[in-house]
Order: sequence, then structure tokens, then C-alpha cells
Amino acid sequence: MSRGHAALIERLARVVGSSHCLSSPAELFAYECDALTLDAVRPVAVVLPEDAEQVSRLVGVCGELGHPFVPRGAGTGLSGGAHPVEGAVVIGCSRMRRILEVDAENRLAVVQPGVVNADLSAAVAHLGLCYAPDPSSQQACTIGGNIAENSGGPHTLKYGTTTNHVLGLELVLPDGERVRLGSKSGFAAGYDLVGAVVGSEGTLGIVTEATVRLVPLPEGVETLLAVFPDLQSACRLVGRVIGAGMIPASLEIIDQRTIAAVEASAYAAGLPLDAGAVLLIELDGAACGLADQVASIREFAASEGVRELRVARDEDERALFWRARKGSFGAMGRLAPDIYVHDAVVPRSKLPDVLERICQIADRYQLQLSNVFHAGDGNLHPIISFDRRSDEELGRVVAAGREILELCVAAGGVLTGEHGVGVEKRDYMGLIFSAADLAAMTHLRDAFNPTGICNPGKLLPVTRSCVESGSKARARVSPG
Amino acid sequence: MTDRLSSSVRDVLRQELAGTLRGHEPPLEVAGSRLDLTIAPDSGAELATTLAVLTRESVPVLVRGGGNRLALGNPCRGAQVLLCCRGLVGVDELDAADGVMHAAAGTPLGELSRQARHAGWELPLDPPGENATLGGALATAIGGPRRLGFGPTRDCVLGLEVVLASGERTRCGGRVVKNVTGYDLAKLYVGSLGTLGVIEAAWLRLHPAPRLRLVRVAQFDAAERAFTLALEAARRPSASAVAVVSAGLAERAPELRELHCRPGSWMLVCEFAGDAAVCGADRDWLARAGGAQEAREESVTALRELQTDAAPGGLRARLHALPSSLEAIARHLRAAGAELLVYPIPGVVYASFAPREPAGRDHRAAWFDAALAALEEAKRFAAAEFVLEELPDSRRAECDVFGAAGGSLGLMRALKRRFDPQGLLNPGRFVGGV
Repeated sequence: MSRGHAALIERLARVVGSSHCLSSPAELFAYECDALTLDAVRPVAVVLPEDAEQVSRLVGVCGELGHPFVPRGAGTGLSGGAHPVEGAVVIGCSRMRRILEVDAENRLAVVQPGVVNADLSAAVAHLGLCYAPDPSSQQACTIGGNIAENSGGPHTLKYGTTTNHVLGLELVLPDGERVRLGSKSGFAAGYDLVGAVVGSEGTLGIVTEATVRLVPLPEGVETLLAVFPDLQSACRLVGRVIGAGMIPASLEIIDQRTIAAVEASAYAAGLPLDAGAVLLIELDGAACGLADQVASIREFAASEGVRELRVARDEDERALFWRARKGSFGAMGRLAPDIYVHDAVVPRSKLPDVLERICQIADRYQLQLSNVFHAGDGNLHPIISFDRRSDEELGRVVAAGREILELCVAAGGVLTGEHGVGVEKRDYMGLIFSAADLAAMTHLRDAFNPTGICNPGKLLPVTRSCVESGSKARARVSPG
Repeated sequence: MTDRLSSSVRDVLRQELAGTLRGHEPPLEVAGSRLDLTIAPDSGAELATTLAVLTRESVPVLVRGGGNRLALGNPCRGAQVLLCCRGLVGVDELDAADGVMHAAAGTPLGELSRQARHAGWELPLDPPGENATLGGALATAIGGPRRLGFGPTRDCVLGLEVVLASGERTRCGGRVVKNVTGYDLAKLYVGSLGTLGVIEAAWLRLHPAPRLRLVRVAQFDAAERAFTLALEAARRPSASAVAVVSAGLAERAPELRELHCRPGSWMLVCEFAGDAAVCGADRDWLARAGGAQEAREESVTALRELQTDAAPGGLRARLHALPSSLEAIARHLRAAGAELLVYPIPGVVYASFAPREPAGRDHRAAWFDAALAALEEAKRFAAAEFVLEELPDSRRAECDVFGAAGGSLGLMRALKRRFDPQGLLNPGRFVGGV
């Protein structure tokens, strides 16, 4: 350890106590990356503050000694948003996990950033309320991380993403100043700084408190499983449902290859192995309005050639349907040593065409491709199964991945719907945005983070060429 | 920066921006500025050229959409040119399968609504103002009565094209309904009163057109009953618009006057929209709870114009507060002489105070100070925030109509400096003189 680092660690430890300042290689190992497991970098130290005051002082120390810092939630992010850079201090929010206030009358909660997403919903369930954003990692991911990434989940089609549920924030700016943005009512005079901070991938400061909206638990829920002979028919039903003005809570598609993997795993749900695709549809809301929607969906599904339409009879069957969806990525892990998950979004009406062409790309590169995705949002998750030990195969994965992104962008889509840009896709930003667009984004970052000390190297392209390292990015955990 | 546009700059503008200029002699007096020229670009490219030239010549501008809300905000300091965006019109794309639309900023909302309806969708924007344009609606981000069902203005914006003060044409977001690709700059531009850039066009997310709309009204002498029921109604699954209106204000809208609101009472206006079965259940619930009577859809649209109602020379404020504090705020402001329009969700109160006496020579009127004191008191006891939307001209120069911006003002100034380094776009109009 260099003398400079020793001095830094001593100063940091003075703020949080030595037991919450980690600096040995064994302790730092777990913080070298998030769920994007390549391009790991060992931080100089990891500090675990307990309140905003400590965060502010830690940031001050980093600034004074010239070390970049990286905010971190639970480390479940899939785009490398919490990856350290050389010389960085990781500021983890895992000890700031108190729910400070629940106001059922006004349907809001005030929480610290380290509160686990699912814990908040569990804590307010007895009031008939929940916190709506529900990323697949919700048992582990934190509200602070969700705010950084503007996380979604299977129910965003109806309930929106994190940005629709954050009313106010306390933020420690990169110079250590603490500011309050927004308010409990959601209004604050001036620019919508809360809206700017949500989804900024931890590059504008560290959120130390959040006021979030709570929503009522739905009165009724209907879960349907539609079995189709092919993927295109399932996509067309999605279009029919959306076009008819319905807003289901979820519209999720699982393709044939994934069905095979799921049925061979512990997540087996009795899905027919010869089906081309299944579409999971969840409707919720006023109980008296659900029967008509189920009837309409039956009619649409029949005209799109559905082989079978199952309606969950009880909570157990509903859980069984969801088990297939939620277990998909775990099951996929059995097929190959590695998987590479994309997160592009295309206009919903383009789904059938884009999916067909994505399959053609995979075939051309002789890669194993499967699809499990949020069809209602047009949010694709093409998954390529491969073995990273083969450089030649890795090269094909990278090349196919770029073609898939280019295809989605050409169809009017975008690079990421919920995983974020992070380090993984920062060098693809030029596929969508012009230099002037990116300069405008830089204006925002620089207004908050003028020295660039806060989470450098994320979200915006860096000047050196990082295409190679960025495009090798792969993930091994379940996305949204 | 001088008060008047110099003749040399005027010549340069005429030369470089021919065809889109109109001179004003004497100068046009709008929103605190004396404007020598109106420039009305017809395309995004013309808008970009215009801003590039104005920035090069350091000419401050007042940006105008439909012109409904030019009085919103602080006086614009020294703008010399009116930049009128109503020439940027048209719907480039309406994807009926996806329920998204791309339109130019000067397109009237009425036209966008018509096209959306024709395609089986609904435009989720209903700000006040007959001639409201898309750009103006996004720049002001003021919701209307259906804000309850539509959500905040920003939620319908999927992507924006914005011309910066430098004349650079930029884009953020996209046309898809879920997107975290890059910073969400659209959130910054929406509601920024044109101080960071000029909106050229937008991708909008449409809402499914409701199959049914049911409007019901009820009257209550007791504020407690009115506000309790209003909040319950606003939380019904099909509620698309819910408002409480003081009798005196209801009298000013013909559509509500015909419902014969009793003096001193509170009128509850509810609209349920969407699925027929759900609307019917909510209607029946209200009938049991409040004995409401049927009313026309115009009772809801009339609320939009009541939002901008103000007696000549009077004061109107928009307060934001938690739903649980609205009844107390309403009682307090009513006692102070205000007429009120209240949206229980998201917790917005429009309070209008009429002048009770002519302003004295020193333009200090007791009624105004009392009204302001009542608003400040509401801010204190209910943690409300308020914006002064209408006030006597003589008072505008004295105060920031947005109140104190608090600790985030430094960030806002930093943003303004980076997006508009010379401070030429709507100078001084926003919070803290930004």
C-alpha cells in the first residue's frame, strides 16, 4: 500500500470507524465489480457510512486528497454502474437501511438509500400499500441503487419505473454539500432536479434519503398464460392488447429455447416443450373490470392462433406461472458457462420483425440465442449463451451484440431500457446520440459534478477507445 | 446589454433571418420586456439559425408558444426579441399501434388531441388556455383538471428535440416507452419555462381513449365533508378528474353556475373515465357516499379556465401541499377571502384574492399584504409551497414569484450557466432570477 493510500484510509476510517473502512485485498475483492463481472478494478478502500453526515465527510476527504469515489448500493447492477476506477473509494450505502417514515394517509415513505426494495413493500403491506418498482433483483437491490439506475421490472408497463415514484431526495453533491431536492408533495420550484438525478447512475452525487410514493395493492389480479406455436404470434397478441387500450400490469414473453431450459430446471412450470413461445399476462385493478379484459384477451388470442390459454385459478397457480418467468435466467445458466444479456428497447409494433432478425444474426454468428423479455414495453433481453474461455467465440458474441444493438436502434429503439449505460454501453452512445446531444448531457453532469470526481467513466463515452472492454461486458445474474 | 436593439444588430438580424421578422415600433411590451422584433421561424432549422445568430449578437429573447402563460414567472429582464414558435407545426408521426406521437412544438394542443382521438388514443395534456401549444404546455408543465388521470406533464414526454441557446439542435430520450439511455434531460427541460433551451419537437406517449366518461357533482356546506369525499373519490380506480371549488369561484364558470351552487358551500366535481364496469361502480359509490347529481363533461373542462381566473388587479397563487393538509389550507385561505379551486391529488390549490381597495399612491394595498401573509401562513403550518401566478404589476418587481428556491438554487444557476452561458433565454424569468 502506498503512503498516499495509507493516509487516505486513515482519514476515511476516522469518519466511519475502522470496522467500516475496508482495505485488505480479501475485503475489497467483493467490491471490484457489480453484477457485470468483467473489467473488475480493485478500489483503494470501501467505506460504509451510517448517515448523510458521514457520506458528506467521506466525499470531502476524497475531494481533498484527489481520489474519485463510486457510490454503491447492493451491487446487483448489470451495466457496471458501480465499477470502481483506478484509485477510487467505494462508498457503500448498505448500512443506511432504515425506513424513516411511512405516511399511509398521503401514501409516501421516507427511506435511507440502503433499504432493500422488497423490504419496503413488505413493511407497508399491512397498510394495503406497496412500492411499485419491482426489479427482478428486488430481494437484494436497494432503493438507492434503483434511483441511480431508474430501475424498472415486470410491472413497469402499468406502474412506470423508479422515476415515477420518487418525490424528493437528499443528495450529497460531489463537493460534500448536502442538498434537498423535490419535496413530499412532489413539487419544488425550479428545474426538476429529482427527475435529473433519477437514472443518473450515481454520477451526480450520492442519494442519502429518498421520499417515495406508495401505491395501493390491487383489488383484483388475473394472471394468464397464453401458449403459442411461434414467437411472432405471441408478439402480435401483445400488439392487439396494447392497441385495444388495455394496460396490463405485465406482458412477458418466454421463447422456446428458454421454455426448454426452464422445464429442465427446478423452475419447471409445466410449459409445453413444443410451444414456440408463451406470453404471461397479468391484469390488475378494480375486480369488476377484469372479467371483460380477460374475455377480450381470449378473443384476441384465439384470432392470433393461440394453442392454449390458461387463467390462473388461485394464488398457487399464479405463482407457478411466474416461477417460469422469474426462473428463466437461472435456468439459462445451465446451458453454457456464460450468458450475455442485452437490454435494448424497440417500438412494440416492431417486435415480431426485430426478433426474427435478431435470431438471424445469432444464426449467422452460430450462437445460441434465447429471448425472455418485457414485451409490453418493447424491452428485449436477447440472451447469448457461450463460453468465455474461447476467444474466438467471445469475438462472435461481441460482433453479434453490436449488430443486435444497431438493428434495434435502426428500428427506432434505444440501447437500454432498464439496466443502464454504465461502462457496458457508454461507447455505444454514439449509435443514438450526436456530439451535440452528448455535450448537452455533459452540461448536466458538469453542473453537479464539475471536477468529475463522482463515479467517473460511466454513462457518457470516454475519450479513449473503450469499445473492446465495454463490449466484452457480460452478466450472469437475472435481469429485470 | 442595452434596453433597445441597436440598429446595427437589427440590420444583421434582418439580413440573416429574412422572411421571419416583424419589427415593433413602438416596442411591444410583454411580460416585463420591451420587444423590438418578433422572429417566427417555420422549421427547426430556422429556429436553430435564429438562436445561433441571436447568441452571436448577444440578443436576449422572450420565447413564446401560444402566449397563454407569458405572465407566468418573474419579469423577463431586458429581452429585446420575441421568439414565436407557433410556426413549428405538424404531427410527423402518429403510431396508432404503439400509441406514440411525434409533433412540432408550435402545434396547438387542440390539433394534437383531435389527431390522437381519431387514432383511438387520448392526448394526456389539458393545461388551461385556448391556444396552448405543445411547446408551451411542456415548458410551463402546468396540469389541468385531468392531471389526476393523465399524470404529470413530464410523464407523457418520451423524447425531446431542443435547440440550445448556441443554436445547436439536440435530442434526448426517444420514441419508446421505456428508456434509460443517457441522462433524462427531458425532465430538466419540461417545466423550465424555456430558460435552458427552446423545444422544437417532442415524442409523446398517448393514453388509451376512455370508453366512457361520467361526470358527477355534489355540494357540501361543510368543508370537512367535501374534502374527505374528494380525496376518497380521487383514489377510486376510474377517477380521471376530481376538484373542489368554492361557491364564489364556481359562479364564474357558466357550466358550473347552472348547477346552482349555494353561497358559501363547496362544489365537488368528479369525472370517472375508462372501463364501463369500473366507472359504473365508482359512480354508484359516489351516489351512496355523497348524493351526487349528473353533470356535463363541460363541468370538468370549465375547471381549466378557473385555474387562470383572477380579478383584475388581483392576486392568484398556486399552492402545492400534501393531500392531508388541503382542507386546513382551504379553510384558512377561504377565511382570508380567497376563492379556491382544489385538486386533492396531486395536492394543488388555486387561490384567487380580489383587490378590496384601490392601491394607494405607493402601490401598497392592505388587502395584498394580508393575502400574501395568509399564503405564507399556509406555507408555514402545512409545509405548502406556492407560486404567485397573477399579481399587480407594481408588485412583480418586488418579489420572486416562486419564493425562495432553497439550497438547490446554486445547482440551478450552474445548469443555466452551462446551457445558456450568456443568459439570453427568457432572462430572469425563472426561480431566483435564473
